[in-house]
Amino acid sequence: MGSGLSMNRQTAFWALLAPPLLFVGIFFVVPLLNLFWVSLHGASSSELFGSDLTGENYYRILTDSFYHTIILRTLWAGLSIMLLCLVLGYATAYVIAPLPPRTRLIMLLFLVAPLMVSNVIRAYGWIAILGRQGVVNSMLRSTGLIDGPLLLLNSFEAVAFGLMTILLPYMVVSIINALNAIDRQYIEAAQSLKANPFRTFIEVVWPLSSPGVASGTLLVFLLTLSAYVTITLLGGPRMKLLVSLVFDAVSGFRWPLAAALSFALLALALVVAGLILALLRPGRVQGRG
Amino acid sequence: MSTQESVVRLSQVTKRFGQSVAVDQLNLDISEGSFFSLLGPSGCGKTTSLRMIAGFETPDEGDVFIRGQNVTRIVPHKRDFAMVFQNFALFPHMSVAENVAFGLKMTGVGKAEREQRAREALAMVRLPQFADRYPKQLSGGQQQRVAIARAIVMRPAVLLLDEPLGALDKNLREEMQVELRSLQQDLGIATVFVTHDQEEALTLSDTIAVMRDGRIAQRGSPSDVYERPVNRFVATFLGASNLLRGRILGTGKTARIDAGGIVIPLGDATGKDGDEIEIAIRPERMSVQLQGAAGMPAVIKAIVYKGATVSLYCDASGDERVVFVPGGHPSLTGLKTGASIVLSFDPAHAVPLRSE
Amino acid sequence: MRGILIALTGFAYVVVLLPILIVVVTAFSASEFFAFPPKGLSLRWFEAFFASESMRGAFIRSLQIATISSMVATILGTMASMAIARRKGTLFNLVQGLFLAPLIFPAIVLGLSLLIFYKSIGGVPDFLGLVIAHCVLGLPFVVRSVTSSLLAVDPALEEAGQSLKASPIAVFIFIITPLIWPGMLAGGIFAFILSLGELNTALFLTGPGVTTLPIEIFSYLQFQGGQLVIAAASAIQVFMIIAIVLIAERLVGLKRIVRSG
Repeated sequence: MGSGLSMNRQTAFWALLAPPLLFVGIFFVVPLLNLFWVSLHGASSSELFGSDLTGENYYRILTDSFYHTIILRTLWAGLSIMLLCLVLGYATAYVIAPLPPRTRLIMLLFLVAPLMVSNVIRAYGWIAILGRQGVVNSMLRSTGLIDGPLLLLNSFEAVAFGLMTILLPYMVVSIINALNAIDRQYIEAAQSLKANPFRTFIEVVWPLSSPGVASGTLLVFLLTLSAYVTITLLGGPRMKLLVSLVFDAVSGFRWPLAAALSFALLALALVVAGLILALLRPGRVQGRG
Repeated sequence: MSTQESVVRLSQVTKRFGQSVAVDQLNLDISEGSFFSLLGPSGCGKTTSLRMIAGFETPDEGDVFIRGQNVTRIVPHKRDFAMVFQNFALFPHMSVAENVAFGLKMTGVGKAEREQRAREALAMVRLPQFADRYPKQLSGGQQQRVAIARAIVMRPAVLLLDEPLGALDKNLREEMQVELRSLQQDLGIATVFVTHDQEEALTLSDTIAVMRDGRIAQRGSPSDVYERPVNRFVATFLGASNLLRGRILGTGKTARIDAGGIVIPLGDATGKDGDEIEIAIRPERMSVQLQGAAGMPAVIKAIVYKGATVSLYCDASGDERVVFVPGGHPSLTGLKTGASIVLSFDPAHAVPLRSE
Repeated sequence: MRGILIALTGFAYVVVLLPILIVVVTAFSASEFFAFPPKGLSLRWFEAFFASESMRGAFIRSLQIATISSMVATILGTMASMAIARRKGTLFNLVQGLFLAPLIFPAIVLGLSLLIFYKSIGGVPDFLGLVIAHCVLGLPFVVRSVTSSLLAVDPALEEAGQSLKASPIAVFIFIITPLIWPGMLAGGIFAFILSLGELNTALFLTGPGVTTLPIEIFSYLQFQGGQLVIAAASAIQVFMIIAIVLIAERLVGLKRIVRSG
């Protein structure tokens, strides 16, 4: 029997909800709408944006081949990082998931704790390892294998690899949660029906872990999109992704263009999120959709 | 019963949830010191009625009085009651002693006094040694006692019990019934008890109100409602009944059962000559006679041994009839499935039912 | 097959942990320039860190921003959770989605939208602007963690409290708060840690003289090369996080820390 809302409870409900809702409304929703409004204007030298409404920023992004190159590169970077994370993350999760709870928790802690460390520090770590005077180069030089330093940074590969290591824990945690939610009986049932371990994995474990794979890949892709600092540090000034263009536009005070590029970034995020969900269909396991 | 004497009174109380009427113009009077049970199937409105006394639900119509004060619009924590919840609702972060003393703390009773009273309450439920434990460390029966101690320590005008024994297993439940009843009588505290278990209601109560669809179908002492059910619902919900058809005779003082022709007194039931009437007879009030005796001829379909009693399931010209015979009773000798017998009963045990 | 899986797992741990380890070890280097393994150990770079006004200032400011924003996020997030936990329906799902959205929302877009918003309303002090941004980012962690704590509380306890003469406020103080306290703490701690290391939103919101430690480290790396004082700054952050994790383990348990991540 449900409890009716008396006047008192109604008041308490709004008293509790109003402050956080207002806060999120004012400092999240309104700025975003405002950003969209700005993106629909031309540039102005004196104001934040010009006075006339125009779709020129979006038109430029859609037609200029420079933006196409960057968007494709961004997609490619996102997908490579996603796949790298998926392979390494799934393997790691698969190994950790069946461990006894206490051991599993400690193993997970060693992956989750690095997430708390600022990305700038983790990227700096890679600079220390892969840079001209870095660990790898100095080791190779001292063994006499090379004369001059290898250029390991400032490349697409460096960004992809570095971001992969930074985002990997998200993938592991997502997949472990999904794997641990799988009832052992399903696996035993598959075995009783003569499925070998490989078939059991393909037919039972993988589909049942799809919610974890979906949320992991989604998270990794979204975080790749806005990882400006890591991309800049590991990729150098010429390795530009969409997020770098947002930053560049801001540096040039071209606010409307920066705003439009932000929405291009959001649109990319939405499209890829839709594709991931359509491909993995996690809903069929979660009982909705 | 006048308002002055009753501890709790519900007057014309109605509660709706959306389209459905949970409680329909209910009137209740619970007198000082009595143990009052609201008995009925799930969804009959018994829990909602209890929650309206507590103030967890507000009636759409009608008024609730506690000790003569209209509390309809008063919030729960300002009402004079205490409650034992279905799953006990002990605070998991407080020790047993803190749980029991919590209500006293809320009403501003000093530390020394509330510790003293909590100790007394725990002694009353025979758990004095568990004061420093936490609820999770106790068994179900012990948690139950703590919940009772937490309620009675408040010395409330009325004690509300929401199916408090439902979470316990059968043996423990019977033990707790006895304990609960003697505790209630020692304290003389008016108690409203909600249950769907008829046996529990019969064992514990001074008064039972059998509820159905938000209304009271019958109210009375346990023997009243069991021996003289007023309608088919009460007769079948509260224990088993054989329902027989009959017709009223002459001036309406007696009726004759269609099958077997037994004539029964009608008491204060009314009707005129020739009216159909339904009559209930408890299985344990039926007896088995050899073929040829007066009564309803029947064939035994199944004999089920239940220890203290033996149940005979019989077919009496198409109607199923049940008879409970005490185990080892002489009438059982030689009975077999398929045997033809005659069922009879003392007309005084037949109960004419009101049509619904 | 098993061997390959274990090798991949080992590789995963190495690439996740190694960079942090190298930075922390380097911070204790005695030499002027980066070398690994360091030639000699010293605390000179930690001294240099605290001697540098801009570094020390950024460090203290980061702590202030993290403290204020996580506290505000904890309060607002707890209120939001209490209002919407256990409620069903599309509208409540939407509201909850709104509170959780910053969790996956591109941080740089959030930063830019706040920057332009601040400019549109005539400017907001940099410090306040950063606090607000980190509060928006920390809120979802609190909402998630407190909501799951609230859902674990038996709703009958609230009524039990009322039946024992506790007013709604007393019920909140004596019954609800002690039960959801670990959830509030876990959410708040995570919001704090997040704020300490946050980059992509703060990027746009720091101003001259008002920067956070991660942004300070970033600009050092970009414009002044890999001076070892950054290693010391990084190591300090890592030690703080280790300390917080150890304290949190005592207060709320390992499980909650791992889950809030």
